[in-house]
Amino acid sequence: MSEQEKTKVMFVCRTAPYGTIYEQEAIEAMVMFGAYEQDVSVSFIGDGVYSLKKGQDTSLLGKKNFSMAYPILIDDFEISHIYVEKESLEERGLKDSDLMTEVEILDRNALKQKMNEMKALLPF
Amino acid sequence: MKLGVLIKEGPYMHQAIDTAYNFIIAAMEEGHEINGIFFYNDGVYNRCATLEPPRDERNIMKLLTELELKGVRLIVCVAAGKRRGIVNQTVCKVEEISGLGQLLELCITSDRTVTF
Amino acid sequence: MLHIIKKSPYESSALKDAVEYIGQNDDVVLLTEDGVYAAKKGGKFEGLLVDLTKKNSVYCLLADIKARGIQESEIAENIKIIDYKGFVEKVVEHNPMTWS
Repeated sequence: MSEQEKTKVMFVCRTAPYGTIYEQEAIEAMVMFGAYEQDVSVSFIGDGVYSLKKGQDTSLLGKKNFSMAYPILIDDFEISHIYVEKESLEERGLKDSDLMTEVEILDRNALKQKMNEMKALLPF
Repeated sequence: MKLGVLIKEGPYMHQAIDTAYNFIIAAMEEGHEINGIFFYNDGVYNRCATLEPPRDERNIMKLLTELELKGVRLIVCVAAGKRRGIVNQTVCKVEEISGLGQLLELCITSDRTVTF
Repeated sequence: MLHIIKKSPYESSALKDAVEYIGQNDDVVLLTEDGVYAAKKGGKFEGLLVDLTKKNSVYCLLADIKARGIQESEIAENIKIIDYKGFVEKVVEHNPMTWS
């Protein structure tokens, strides 16, 4: 499929992991969407950036550590881009070295431009 | 216009389905096509067949079934449903259960996708 | 874009986060559900919304303000009140993003 024929869809992740199920089920959707050869990107804004924090260990929680999927989203699941909002990271005292995978860190204006290009925005 | 709808909340903890329902009715009255309603997260509970609200309360499950009779496609995510016990035996209509690919399909084939 | 805000600004960062993404003049804002509390005159967010109306259209949903006992006269200056048909119209005009 040519790039022009692909539909651009973006997951907009604004919730922290574990406190609610949104992030976990968002990942499940990202993984499935990857199989359909569309242009799927993922952005993390606000508390969503916590989902990418290194060193998550859910053993004491007794729940699955679903963050393991983030580092393989692009290579194994054909996700086009992972964007993280720069200002949200800074507000929370996080640096790119705190993140578990390589991402594209964009400021709000640049991320906004990306959002404008999307056919559908899926908030989680 | 073809409108896709994503419902992420259940029928009681949040107002989402009520806003969505009123939006959908208005859209249909204005001549727009509802391309499909996809139920994800706790949204799958809206299609639980054993819901039995008090008689003086709105029965969202029935209202949605009425939309279905008017030709609106309702899609309950199989994975989110299974996790919450919304399966073949408990969903309003077995045919409504489908995969997440249907959500992407909805995004592709709808002019707009609105999340509630 | 149409920014749909459905959480109270006193409870959630939905409005605050959305405002950061409302850049261009053709972006519009719709307050629904508990999001309508932001539009109440005299509330903490009145100034922010009124400032926003200087370059962007801001709407709030009639059914939600009525249900919450907010009179039309209590809605901040320049915020327009629309019904569900108006909501549909805004979705037709702009690509929606829901902030909760």
